[in-house]
Amino acid sequence: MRKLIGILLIGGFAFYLVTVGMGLFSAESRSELDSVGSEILATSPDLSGAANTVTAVVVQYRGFDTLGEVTVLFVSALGVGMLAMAIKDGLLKNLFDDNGGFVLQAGSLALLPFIVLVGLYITLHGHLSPGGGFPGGVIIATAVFVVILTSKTLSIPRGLINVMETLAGLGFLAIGFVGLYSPAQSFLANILPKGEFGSLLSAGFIPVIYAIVAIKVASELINIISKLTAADSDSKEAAE
Amino acid sequence: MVSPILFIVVPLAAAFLTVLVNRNAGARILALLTALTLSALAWFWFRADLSTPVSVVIAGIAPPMGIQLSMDRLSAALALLISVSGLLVILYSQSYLKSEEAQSKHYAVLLLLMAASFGILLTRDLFNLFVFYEILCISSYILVASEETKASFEASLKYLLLGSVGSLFMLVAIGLAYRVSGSLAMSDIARALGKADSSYAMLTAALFVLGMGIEAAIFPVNTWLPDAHSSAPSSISAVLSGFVIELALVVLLRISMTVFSSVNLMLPLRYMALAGILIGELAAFGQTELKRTLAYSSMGQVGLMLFALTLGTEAGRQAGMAHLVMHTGAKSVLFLIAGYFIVRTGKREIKSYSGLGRRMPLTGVLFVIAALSLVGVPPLFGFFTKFKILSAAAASGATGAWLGIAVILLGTVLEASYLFRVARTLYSDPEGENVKAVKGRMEMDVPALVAVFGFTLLVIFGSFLLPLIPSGLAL
Repeated sequence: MRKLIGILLIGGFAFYLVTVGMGLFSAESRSELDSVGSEILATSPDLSGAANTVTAVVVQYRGFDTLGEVTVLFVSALGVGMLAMAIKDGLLKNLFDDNGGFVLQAGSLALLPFIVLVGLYITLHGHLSPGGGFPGGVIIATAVFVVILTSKTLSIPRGLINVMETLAGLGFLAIGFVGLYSPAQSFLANILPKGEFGSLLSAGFIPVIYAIVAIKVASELINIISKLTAADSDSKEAAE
Repeated sequence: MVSPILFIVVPLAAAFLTVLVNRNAGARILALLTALTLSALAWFWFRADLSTPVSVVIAGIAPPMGIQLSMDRLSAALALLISVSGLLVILYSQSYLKSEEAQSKHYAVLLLLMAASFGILLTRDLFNLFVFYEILCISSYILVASEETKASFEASLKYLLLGSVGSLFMLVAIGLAYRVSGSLAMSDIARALGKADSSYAMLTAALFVLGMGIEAAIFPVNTWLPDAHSSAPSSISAVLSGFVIELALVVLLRISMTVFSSVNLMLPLRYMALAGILIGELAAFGQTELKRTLAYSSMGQVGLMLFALTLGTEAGRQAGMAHLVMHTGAKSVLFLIAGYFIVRTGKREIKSYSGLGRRMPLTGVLFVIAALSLVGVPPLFGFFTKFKILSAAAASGATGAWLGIAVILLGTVLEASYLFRVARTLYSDPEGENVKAVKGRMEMDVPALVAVFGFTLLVIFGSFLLPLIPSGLAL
């Protein structure tokens, strides 16, 4: 078996060298369609009102993909949740059995609001500077994770988090519907006023969507963390 | 206005909501209502005039910058097939799923699977296709593992490993395509690849076909299928064998024939199809467990459809599509009934089912009808579709067509022998411990019976639908 893997690896590398050396599989000339990138750069400020073009592409031009990615995260979280429940003892429970001690616990609690603040800042400035809902949501979830790392005493309001997760998901779809039934007649069309270019309240629905994404990402990650670290009794509770 | 986007948004919204529903009854009803809504939507589009496809752009930004979805006759017909299958399977699950399980998550994932199915069917953007393909794969992994036995975890892990590699292949293919076209819209990529170096186009096409082919269970990359389809709960086996692999196959074919039209993929795909038929049917013949037999048979049947679809003639495509519809009906019936065989006897081996046909008379008859149709016995639907495939192959003059006919006939003989073996066991005298097996009611519960009956109607009367089954694989 190991020989076979070795042969496969060497064969693959040899194939790579041969193709690169002979210039096979290369595309020298680009076609006339190369203009999409520059077209987006040219139209983005007017069309989306976002100073950050990457965000404009993620939320506006390809907002449907972002909805899909949010769903990928959602379904993965569901899967991890089901698995965590199947493994009775709380997968990572032993890792966090140690009491972190008073200093670490108090320190992590003191850090919590600041980490959340950074997460909120990154989320809400997604249309102006690098960042947005995905990293923002992860940072907010990290705040909770840091506390869990030091102690087990944090009681997470799972019910509330579930409700927030659902509302965020439905909110994303609702924004899409507003576009569909607005004069633009297109799912996820940006119909909110664009505001002043480069200011916090600009870019129409982009900050709104990023806020929703942040809520969804944060609540899903917190849910996963709490399920993975929960003791047996807690995971049964979650099943009900 | 009824927008095609509803096909994706409605099940997504329902899935988000279902997670909140704590009671099993609530989740069941929500899933059922969603599937009903989707069926009504699909019926609307199936009846609508789609001689020119209806396109919608997302966020009011037209391609190549934005994403476009398109509803054509083929998509409408497949959407109807998916939503009605989903409806019947959800109906079946009402009595099949064990009541103590947390069902809300199960239904949520099933609804996401349906949303992703509609997504890959409707989208005309290669990257958007990838996103929905990911959702489809991940929800399949979860559903396969949902019985939480050792076998199902192993099957799911195998599926996950292969599926992840497949996704990577697809992503690389999309990257290569984007490099030459500068666009992710399928029509732009088709144009750009036509002008690109032929070896470059070939590499892109090969990576894409291998990646997508994993979900479509095409021959060399279908090793995950027997484990996954046999260890999943039977309702999920029916979904996976019933429409997921078929759907992936159709989307794969559509992209091969449009986006990669500059590459001759049909000939290699045809030989892969024949290898799939041969290996699938031979392996099915050697199995002792009913669900594994059925899973291997799906492998062979996918080969059969792929062979017909790659013949390159209109008749071949029509025959392949018709066979696809037939397979959805027949394989769903077989898997759904196999689920109740397992529930009622607690065993998976065929030999433990001896005499079961007499104790579950109605179920037994439905099973035999579906098996006969799968083999291709007149006057059932399966006869017409298989006959159409054979005659299309004979008339096509394509390379390997006569070899294909020989392989299909050999496959049919094998298929007949193992399915008749099951039928004979069902109606043989019960032996040994089977005599004093479960007492009391043996027949399936009413919702399951209704669902199986629905699929059986398709198997019996499907031949009347033949003129309604579209075959145009255009963008």
